[in-house]
Parts: sequence; C-alpha cells; structure tokens
Amino acid sequence: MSEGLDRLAATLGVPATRLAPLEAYDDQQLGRFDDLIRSAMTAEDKAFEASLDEALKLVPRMLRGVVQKMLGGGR
Amino acid sequence: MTALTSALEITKLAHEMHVDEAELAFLATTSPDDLRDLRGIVSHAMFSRHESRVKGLAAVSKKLPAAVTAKIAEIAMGPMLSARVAAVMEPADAAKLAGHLNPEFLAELSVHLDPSRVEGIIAKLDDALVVDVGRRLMAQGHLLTLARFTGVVGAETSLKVVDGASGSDILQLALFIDELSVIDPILAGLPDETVTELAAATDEHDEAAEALLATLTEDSRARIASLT
Repeated sequence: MSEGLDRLAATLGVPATRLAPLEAYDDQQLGRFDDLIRSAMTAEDKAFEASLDEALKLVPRMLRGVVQKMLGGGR
Repeated sequence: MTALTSALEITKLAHEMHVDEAELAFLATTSPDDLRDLRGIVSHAMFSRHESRVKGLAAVSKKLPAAVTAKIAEIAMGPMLSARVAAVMEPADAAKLAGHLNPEFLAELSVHLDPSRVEGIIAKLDDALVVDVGRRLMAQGHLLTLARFTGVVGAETSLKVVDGASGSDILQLALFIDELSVIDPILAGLPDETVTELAAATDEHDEAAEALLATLTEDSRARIASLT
C-alpha cells in the first residue's frame, strides 16, 4: 500500500485494504482526494457546531444544562 | 455503459462530499461497483464523526414536545444537522416530528439524508407528505436526492412524485437510481406520452439508452419499441 492510500485510509477510518481499488492512483491524486475529504469534513464540522450553538439557544433554559451534559459537557 | 455508470457514481460521490464532480474526474477509471463502495465508506466516515453528539440530540428531542423540537430544527439546527439527528431517532418519534415540520424544510433536509438510514421513518410517514416533499425535490432539480429515495418509497409513490415530469428528467432520475428493480415498475406506470419523451431523450445518448434498457423487462422494452 502506498503512503497516499494509508493517509486516505486513516482519514476515512478504514483499513487501507478496503481502498485497494484506488491502488492504481498515484500519491498526488490520492493526496488531492484526501484533501477534498478533509475539507468536506471540516466544512461539516463548522456547520455542525454553528447549528448546535443555535439549537442550544432555543432549548428551554431549564433543560439547557442537561442537554449540554448529554452532548459531552464541553459546550 | 461502464463509463456512464462510473460517471454517475462520481456525481453521487461528489454530492456526498459537497464538491464539484470535476474534482473527482480522475476516478473515472474506477469501476462503478468500487465507486459505490467508496461512496459508502465516505458517507459512513462523514456520518460517524458526530454520531455520539447527534444521538445525544436525538435523546434530548424525546424530552421535548415535537412542536418545540420542530421549531428548534427549522430555526436553529438547519437541514444538515436535522438530517443527522433524524437518522438516529426512533422511527415513530421522527415520523411524529416530521408531521410538525414544514414540507419545504423536509425537502431541504432530504438532500442531506441517507435514505437507507431512514427507511423505517419513511414507512411511517403519510403518503401525501412523502409525495409533497418528493415533488418539491423534483421541482428544484434535486434528481439525485430523489433517485436515492426512490428505492425506499417504492414505485407507486414514485409515480405520484414524477407525475407530469418531463421524459428527460425521468431519464436522468432513472439513471441515478441505485435500486434498479424499481425502474421497470415506474416505467410501466408512466403514460405513453412520457415514455415516448423519455425514449427520445436517449436519442443522442446511446450509453444512457443501453443502461436504461438493461434494467427493463422484455414487456417494457417491447412497449418502448412500439412507441418509438
């Protein structure tokens, strides 16, 4: 397995063997694909956090503490 | 046919990643089956990133009246986060919530949903609501999203959704459908005029015609032949 495939597999959280059909591509192509996936994940993370912040503002005050705890307590 | 089906799979993968399909053009030599597997891997990776917190939100929604959760979803959470939460809710709770959501918001939410995760919810929804949302997706040109739901809602509901759509839109929809077994019953339920339009839409796209015909029964092929 190439370095590019290993990096992509790590990003996707799967063993590199699951990506065997992509072995034909070079590290530059796989690196670009990995960058696109990381960008998509980052964009989703930002949208997710923004949506969550807005949602918490509308949760009734009485429940807000419970909700924050259920969501990991760090908010 | 492989080149076309690979291209269609690349479009679906690009949709999953929210990128322009031209960015993924280098994958064109990958087989359609391998691209479909890759889409599943990417979809799972994106979905699982926030799974525990999304499940937390779903649990919170159980403690709130459905009308309040619906308001929070529409005003604050937005379609993407709402779609993630819906995918992990109990189908009965999600169906109840859907009844409080604006159909336009449900259409926006559908674009972010993985239909295979919400089959149980869709089965509990009122058919009229499913058709309403489907028609909104059709009108807005979300054919890829609609195609993904077609396998889940079945041919009968799909036919109501595409009622009045153009032959070329239905052809595009059919080409995007993953669950190939629903294509033939949908085509069988279309009026002759639409089937003729659909066949005409394949005139300059031999690969599209070949891909479509491969999913049809002998009767449907004979019907197309008799109309063209």
